[in-house]
Amino acid sequence: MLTAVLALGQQWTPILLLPLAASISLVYSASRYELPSRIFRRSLRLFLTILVFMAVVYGLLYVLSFRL
Amino acid sequence: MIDERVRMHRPAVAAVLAFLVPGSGHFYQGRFLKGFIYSICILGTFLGGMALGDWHPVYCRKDNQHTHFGYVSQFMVGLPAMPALIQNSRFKHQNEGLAPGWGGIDLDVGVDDEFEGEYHTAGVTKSIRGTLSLTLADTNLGPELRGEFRGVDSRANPVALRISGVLEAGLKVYPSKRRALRCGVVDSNSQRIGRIDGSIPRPFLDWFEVPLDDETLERLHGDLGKQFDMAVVYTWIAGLLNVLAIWDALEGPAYGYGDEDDAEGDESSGDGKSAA
Repeated sequence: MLTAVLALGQQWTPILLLPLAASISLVYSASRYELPSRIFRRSLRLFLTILVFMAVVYGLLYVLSFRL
Repeated sequence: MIDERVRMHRPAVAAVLAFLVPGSGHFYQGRFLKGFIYSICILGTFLGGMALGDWHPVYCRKDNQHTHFGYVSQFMVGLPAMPALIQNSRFKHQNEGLAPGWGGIDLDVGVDDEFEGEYHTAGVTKSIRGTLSLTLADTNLGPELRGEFRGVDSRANPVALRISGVLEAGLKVYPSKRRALRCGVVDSNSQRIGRIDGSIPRPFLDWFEVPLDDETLERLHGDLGKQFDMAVVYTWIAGLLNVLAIWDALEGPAYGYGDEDDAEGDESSGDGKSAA
């Protein structure tokens, strides 16, 4: 799994943000709560929020740099 | 007030353990799920970053030219980042009074290593690969380095060379997996007929977490590009995440146990129940 991500990351660096976002979401949520179900629900939500935020920023930068 | 259901066994000890090895503090307290989450996520991020950056992103360097502030964050991962402190000291002290790049010191005499490089003789250059054996011989003029090379050239023809005379070696402690080596080649009458120029493997403890000099940083950026920057960010974030884990081991979960407000509201619903 890790090898596959690393290999993909060599082709397209932004893919490396996925495991990083997953890791941040899990650790952050685990440091907020003790109940496992709450930790996993919160971390999934945070992971998706980070992805959407990054996609929006990526899209914005793409539009702003279009044909530059 | 920490929820009674949270097992907060000896929080200070757990915090120290959590600092040394991510997740270990929670295992110590019997909070196994959190221990797994912290150890897998934090160590995975840290080691993933190391692997992405060819095992070079973590280093401690402070000198007149460059200070690596990122190490403060990397240090928070604990034991896995601590060798960098020792390596910084070893790297600095071996450099004292020596020309940068070449030291020619502390070469393990009796080295019997795989050598890769070029053989230069009478205007001809050959690529060679094989085993280099060096020994320290006593002569009338004092100790002298002697040895032999046995291997093959690029066309798989056998090559056997006698080594003697001046030997130059790259620094013992340096952030590269191979150590440069240059030495003279003599014939059976001990007359110099050429030289070999190449490298031998550098032991793991002599390159791991050694401070990166400007030349190595340029090489890594050239070879890995943005991947090296991402690798460095991975190791920084791993350290920052471990701060959260240490805090959790010391003070418990920041928002409480997690069943106080079953309605999945916004973050502010949990803020009021902060136990930290």
